Amino acid sequence: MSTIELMYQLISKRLNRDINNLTPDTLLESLGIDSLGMAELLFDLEDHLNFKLITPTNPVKTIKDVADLVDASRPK
Amino acid sequence: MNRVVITGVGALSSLGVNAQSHFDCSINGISGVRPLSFASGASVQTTIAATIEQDVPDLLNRNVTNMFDRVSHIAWNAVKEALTQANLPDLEEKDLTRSGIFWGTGFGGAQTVEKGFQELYLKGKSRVHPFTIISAMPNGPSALISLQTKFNGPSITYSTACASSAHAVGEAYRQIKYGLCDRAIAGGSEAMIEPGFVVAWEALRTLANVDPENPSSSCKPFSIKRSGFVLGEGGAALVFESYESAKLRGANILAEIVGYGTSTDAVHITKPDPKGQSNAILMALSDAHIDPTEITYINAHGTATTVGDLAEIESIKIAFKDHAKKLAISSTKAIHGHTFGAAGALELVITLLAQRNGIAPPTAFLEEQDPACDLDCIPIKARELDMPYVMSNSFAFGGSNVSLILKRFD
Repeated sequence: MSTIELMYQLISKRLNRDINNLTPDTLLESLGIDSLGMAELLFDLEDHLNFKLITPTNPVKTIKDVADLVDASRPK
Repeated sequence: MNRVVITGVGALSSLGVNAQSHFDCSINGISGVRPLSFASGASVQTTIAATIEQDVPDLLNRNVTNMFDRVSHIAWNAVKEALTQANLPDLEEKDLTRSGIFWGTGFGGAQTVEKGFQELYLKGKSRVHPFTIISAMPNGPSALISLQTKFNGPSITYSTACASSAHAVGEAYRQIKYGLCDRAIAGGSEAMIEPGFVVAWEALRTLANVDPENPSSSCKPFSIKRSGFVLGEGGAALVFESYESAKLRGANILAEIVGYGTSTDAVHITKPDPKGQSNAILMALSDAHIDPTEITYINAHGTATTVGDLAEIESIKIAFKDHAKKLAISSTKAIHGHTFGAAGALELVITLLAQRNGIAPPTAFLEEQDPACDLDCIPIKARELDMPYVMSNSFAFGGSNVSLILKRFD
């Protein structure tokens, strides 16, 4: 499973959304994820992935941004 | 100066999840003290507490519910009941800025704090949930109340141990009395029955021994058999308005709050001082502009500790002089436990309902009164009583004292 597919799965389950409505460009804000929601999402992702996510240097606005952050954080 | 009235009350605790159940249990001496156990396996010796039996209803949507500790969920349940009864009209922006929130809690988000420690020390994790800070902060309940009601006048949290919500109520009353607010939600909540907090209370040696014959009767205020209090949890809320605005909108007025006295012992961190306490009582009487003989019932702080009970009896004697012998006094902590930061508001709600119904609740389980507590402590059985003015006292660790007076609204 690709990282973006994993993001679709986790976000749709977490927010009870139809997975078919999610795209890489879906804005997190449109899903009701504000700054606190983002902190909680990243916390849950770390639990699921079992590795620590790096602190993003660019704004994380879309599902693709989250997937990119996950890939950038993967242990080498 | 404005007259200040109460138009809504709400409460939940071990006695139930509405204000009426608190009155019903109080006059019938039905205890909310029940067995206590923890899933964590922590080494806790305490086996009883006055916990909320039902699940605390989650009235928030999923996106925000995790941001708030149990103490805040309890708060919002109590406030919602009070607001439903008050039936406030839709408020415009100019009205909302004149609407305040005054809340009391001793330990704030204790469950969240405890959970964080368990994650770190029991589960060996290196991080805690990102909502830990906002959920644990003591002003979480008042923040939640403001978000739900859109009240955007003052929103202030009081943390004065056992007197927290009594202070919140008194300060709300003053804000309206002196024209700084037109209406207010006041009260308090507490949810600290967690292993670490219970063990800390055990160490202070103020908790009651379990009555082997009837554990639910272990808290025995004013009794020769008393041994301390039982920890409780809960919340209570009151809606305050200026008399003029309540009258204008045809609100159902439940009572008028006419007296608030607050003092500090400045003597000892835990040992109560009758002089400091009587000062609060005298200040409340002075604020109410009534003669001490007009008070007929006092809901005592009555924690069932020897030092606390004796100091309170003495403080009543100092303040009321000869009238002390004629007062009907009871402590309802015998049945709902010590709800700490919520206690002042919770006991004021019970006092208000007692006044409206003309029935003073008893001190439950007071089979053998301590001869040193030689006032009328309404043993065992409720009493029909004319109560034009009633008092509720809250005397806290730290030496903070509060006395509140309600006038019956006929």
